[in-house]
Amino acid sequence: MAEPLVSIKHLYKSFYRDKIEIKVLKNINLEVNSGEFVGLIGPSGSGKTTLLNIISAIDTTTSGSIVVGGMEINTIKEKELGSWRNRNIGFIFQLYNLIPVLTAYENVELPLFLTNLSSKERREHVETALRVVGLEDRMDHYPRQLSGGEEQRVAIARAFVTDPKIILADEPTGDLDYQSAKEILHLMKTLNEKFNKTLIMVTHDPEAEKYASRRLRLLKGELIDGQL
Amino acid sequence: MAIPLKYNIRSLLNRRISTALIVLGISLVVMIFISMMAMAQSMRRAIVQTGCEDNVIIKNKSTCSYEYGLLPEGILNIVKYLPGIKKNSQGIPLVSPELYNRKFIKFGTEEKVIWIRIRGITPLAYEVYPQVKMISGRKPMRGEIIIGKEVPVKFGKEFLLGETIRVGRQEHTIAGIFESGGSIYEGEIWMDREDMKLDFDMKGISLITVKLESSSLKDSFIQGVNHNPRLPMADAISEIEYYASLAGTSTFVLVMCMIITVLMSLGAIFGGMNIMYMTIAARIRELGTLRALGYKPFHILTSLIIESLIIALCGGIIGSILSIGVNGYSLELFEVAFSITITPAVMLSGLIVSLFIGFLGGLLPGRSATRMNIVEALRHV
Repeated sequence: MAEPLVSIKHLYKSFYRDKIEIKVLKNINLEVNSGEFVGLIGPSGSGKTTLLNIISAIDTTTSGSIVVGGMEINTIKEKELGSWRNRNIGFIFQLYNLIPVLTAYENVELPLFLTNLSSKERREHVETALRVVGLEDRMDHYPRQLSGGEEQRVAIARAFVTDPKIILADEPTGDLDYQSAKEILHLMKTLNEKFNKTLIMVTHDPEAEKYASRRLRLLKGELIDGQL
Repeated sequence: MAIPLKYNIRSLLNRRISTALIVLGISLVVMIFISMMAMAQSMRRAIVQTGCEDNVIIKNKSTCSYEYGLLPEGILNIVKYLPGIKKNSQGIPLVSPELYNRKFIKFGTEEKVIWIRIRGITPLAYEVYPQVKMISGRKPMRGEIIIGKEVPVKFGKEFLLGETIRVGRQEHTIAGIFESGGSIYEGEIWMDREDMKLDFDMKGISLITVKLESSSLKDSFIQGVNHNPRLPMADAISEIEYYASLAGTSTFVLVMCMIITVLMSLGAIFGGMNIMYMTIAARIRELGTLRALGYKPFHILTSLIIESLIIALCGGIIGSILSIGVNGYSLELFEVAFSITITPAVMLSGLIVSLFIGFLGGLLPGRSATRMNIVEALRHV
């Protein structure tokens, strides 16, 4: 049997506010296989985004083990984390997080500057990614010239242009109208089914969770559904 | 590869007003720095250019400047027969006995009085100081004067040949205007030594300048004068050395210019830092996104410093261009009249100052940006 893409064991995450320990994640045990579309659901404050941040190594664990793509994240040196994220993780944010002074094309190209691709190869990658999300005719538009749905499609193109092992989406439809949200979810489903991309999506939208092939439910920092 | 430069350039254009303000601030600092540096250098050049390699000054031993002491007239007959002195085509030793004084002079009926240096010379002075050239008119005869080209600048008016100025007790007619290769003579009025004796009631000689057959004879000539028992009051010194000692004044100006520049630069650095901190605060989520995409703290720091350097360089270039406005401006400082010359080297140093301001202005805000928590930065709205 193939190794899971993400393997989390006995993960705890706490932080302190005014000297009071707040336990955000408690004894999380989880495996995500390659090609899965996992929906991480639960109410606000349940620890969904924190778990996503830990998987992407932009946040740290208090204890426990987390292996992504065969690499124990806790062992990666601080200065190598950026390169690791660039190679392995694609991000889709609720508020798109596009750079406002860069065009759609340039936003998608941004993570490719950290790779060894030539200028020509970068162009090919960016054009392909924008074609997949249906924005090949809007590549010279700035984010302010795009609708919310289009901005999120640019963000999706940016998330998979480096061909990462896993795409993490934090409330990707949270700032969109119904129709745009549906289009974005269709697009993510296409990435998963047609391009075999592994996705973990945080959402509390009941409509969105239907698109996931597996649903994990978090409540008060504990995985109560879908746990190993 | 680093964050693309267009990100910085467009971010700067996106916040035009704050960018323009800091560019303006830096351009003013650079303009003032270049102007003051050029002023100090031009002043030094004027003083140093006054001396000739093969000229020796003989002055009264008891004073450091020939302005404050006189030598007896009789000394001239001893000096001009000393060995090593160059002779002109008529076989006359090139020895220039001179009187020197400073006086407040009023021009015509105007209220303005100017503190000006007056030198009483003999016709041999033009051979001892070959750099002195008439640019209009002719050399003076008795009752006449010639003025250095910087004198009109001091008075703030043009002089016409034939006009009169009361230099001492009498009115003197302006016979000509001279230049001397940017030396301090250009700020002086020259007249006949005999006229000056009468006009200023001076008895004796302020200095004797002699031109030697060769500059290699300088040391032996100086030794000969300083140890000559017939010249107990005389103190011989190389003309270059004498004026170089005066150039210490320009060092003072240079130091003042440095202090002013440092103070102004600090203002520009803090101003720049403040704006960069504000810029970073407004772009925290952007910078957090870049970190999430894989850019390292070093990339962020470099990008922000480059952004700060771009602003500073724009300020530096504008400041350098503005400073050209003072090129050729004539002024007098500490008795030295000179024209400011903006050289490429001074402009380059101005650009370096602007880059230094930009680097420091971007360094601390950039470092603070690299220390941000990515999770918190991504949450920032």
